Amino acid sequence: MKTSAVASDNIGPLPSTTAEDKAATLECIQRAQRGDVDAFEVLYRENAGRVFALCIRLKGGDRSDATELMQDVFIKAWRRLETFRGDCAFSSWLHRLAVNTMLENARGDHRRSARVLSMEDTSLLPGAARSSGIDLRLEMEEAVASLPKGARMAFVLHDVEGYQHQEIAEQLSVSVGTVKAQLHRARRLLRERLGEEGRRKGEEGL
Amino acid sequence: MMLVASPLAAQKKIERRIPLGMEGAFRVMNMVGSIVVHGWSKDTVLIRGTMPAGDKMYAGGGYTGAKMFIESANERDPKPTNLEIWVPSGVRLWVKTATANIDVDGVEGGLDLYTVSATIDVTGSPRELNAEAIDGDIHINGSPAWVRAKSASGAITFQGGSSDAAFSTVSGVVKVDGGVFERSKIETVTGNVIFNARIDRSGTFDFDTHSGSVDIAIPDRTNASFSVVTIAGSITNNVSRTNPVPGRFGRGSELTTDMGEGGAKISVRTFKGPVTIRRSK
Amino acid sequence: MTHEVIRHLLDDYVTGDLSDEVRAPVADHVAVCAICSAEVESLQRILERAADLPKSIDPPAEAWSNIRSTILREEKAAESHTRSIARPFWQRPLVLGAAAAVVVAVLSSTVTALYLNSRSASALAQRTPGSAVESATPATLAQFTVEENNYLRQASALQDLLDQQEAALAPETVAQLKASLRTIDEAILEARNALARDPSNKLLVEMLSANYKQKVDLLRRSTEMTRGT
Repeated sequence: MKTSAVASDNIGPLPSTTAEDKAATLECIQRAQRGDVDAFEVLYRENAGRVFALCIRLKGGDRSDATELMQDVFIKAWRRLETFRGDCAFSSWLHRLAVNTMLENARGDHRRSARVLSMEDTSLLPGAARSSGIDLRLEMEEAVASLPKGARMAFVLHDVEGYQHQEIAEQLSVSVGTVKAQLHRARRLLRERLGEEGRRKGEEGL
Repeated sequence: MMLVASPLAAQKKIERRIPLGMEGAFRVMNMVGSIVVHGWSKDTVLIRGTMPAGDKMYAGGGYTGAKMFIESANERDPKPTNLEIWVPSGVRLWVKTATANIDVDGVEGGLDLYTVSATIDVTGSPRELNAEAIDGDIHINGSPAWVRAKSASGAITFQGGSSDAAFSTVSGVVKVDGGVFERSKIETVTGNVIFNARIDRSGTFDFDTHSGSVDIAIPDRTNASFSVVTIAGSITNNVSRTNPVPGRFGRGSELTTDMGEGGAKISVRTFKGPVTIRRSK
Repeated sequence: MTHEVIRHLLDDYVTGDLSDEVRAPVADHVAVCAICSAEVESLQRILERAADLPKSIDPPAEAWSNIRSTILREEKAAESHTRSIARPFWQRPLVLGAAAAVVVAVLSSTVTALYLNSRSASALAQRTPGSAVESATPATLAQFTVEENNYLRQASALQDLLDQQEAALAPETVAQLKASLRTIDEAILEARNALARDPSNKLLVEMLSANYKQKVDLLRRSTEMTRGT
């Protein structure tokens, strides 16, 4: 996964990076694979925030949809735990599972289209309410949530989560060209939605 | 068995013997003509018949497994080969034809019979019987413990009983007559189903069809539980006084009823095929 | 490279996805072109804001207890050897629109994700206990639509194979086979239309699934028959 050049202000636990942390996670996974639900809870606590962030953005900001999806993801993770071989980070494995689960569920989900958040409705994204950059972030979340589904998926996976074009193409079973086209569309739409505000704020001297 | 000599081409006679153990396996492929197989108590395969002069027959193998097949001089227009074969009765027999009729009797081991449009006739009670046709009929007269028969447009008739039977057609009729069944599953798309047999009280019996009619007759003193559902069809209950009730949204019909003290689970599901359940005398 | 060409490369330029040889002329152009440099700047701003979004968002507190209770329930069910696994209680029933929606949504979908190759074994209920002949049927419409896509793919691949081998079959057989397939297709259509009007009808889902299985089975058997003739 490509990491962004810009330092981001993280909220919530970072994925384990030290060798010690990795070993601890692996031990948890092994215990969970043998049926230890408490060990699985530890894995949940470590990863839920990141998975939920992905879910909520994939689901266009709908918190209850995202919660349902996230619960689904962890239940699936529990069922398929033996298939995790440790050849990649557990959080990456969960991430992929989240995208796959979302696509799988979406097959039967005809009525739930991307819901545009109203500008006033901040209750849907409480997690974003903690830092000083709240307005800008909220604005961005809302703008992303308002994107059409294909563009939103490409944007969230590439520009927010950092997947490569090829990886995204594989997961969504489309061509790299399609991914790039959707990305291009997403960025253009976002610039239109946000560009005005940015210019206006600049003009007002904010 | 009548050996037909083709008037158009010279035929040559076949006579071959291959040693084969009683528990062995024997494979036969003959696309056009006929194949008759008899089970016997010798540990030898005897092949007799006639084939077109230009064709070749390959036969051979070891004591545990042998095979034979006919190679046509002209693949595009194969002429008939008629075979009569004796095999050790305990073998596992595999036969494949295109239009050659298959007729097997007295083989007790296992049978795997495949044809495209010929008729498959089995007499006797092999441990396992698997018969498949696309366009051909399948007639079974005996009690294979385990049997699977499939045809698309052909009919399946079965006289006998089985511990584990499954019959499937698209438009062909399925007619089961006699015997004791422990478990059966019969499914068709439009083919009618007629089931008149004895059933074990701890068994399960499933009948599924889209629009075929289903007629089930069970002996009077059987202990059975019926569960019948049809989305848009009708149910006639001649087994008990229970009336079928209308199905979802008032369409179709559902019926749950017992015969005797209940026991064997009989489940019938149709989309719009009419269902009749009754007592056979 | 002209401005027109370069405009379309700006996305990749900003994300660093251009090869070195291409990158240089684009960079040179951007340095002197006001339109392109403005676009590059606004693209960079979008990407910065994207990267700036919180990596983690706290889920609702009750999420874990929901997950936990489902897991525990499944473990218990597995232990007592029941074959059907309870669905999580929060799953709402699915509602379908008109028959057209079913057909269009399923057939015209271009997203055939990885899940098509692996079916979740949970929640597939068996109809008759201990039945050796029965294979699992989908218990929900959601699972069925996944299966249906699978069947459509298989059926299509087998049909292609069969078309190639058609010459090996007698014309009457081909005609019969096609008639049989048409018969199944008509049954499928009827069942599907009924399902569209009554989407929570589990029986219909199972019937439809059985019809598909029969179709794929017939196609498979036919292709196997013609092999080696």
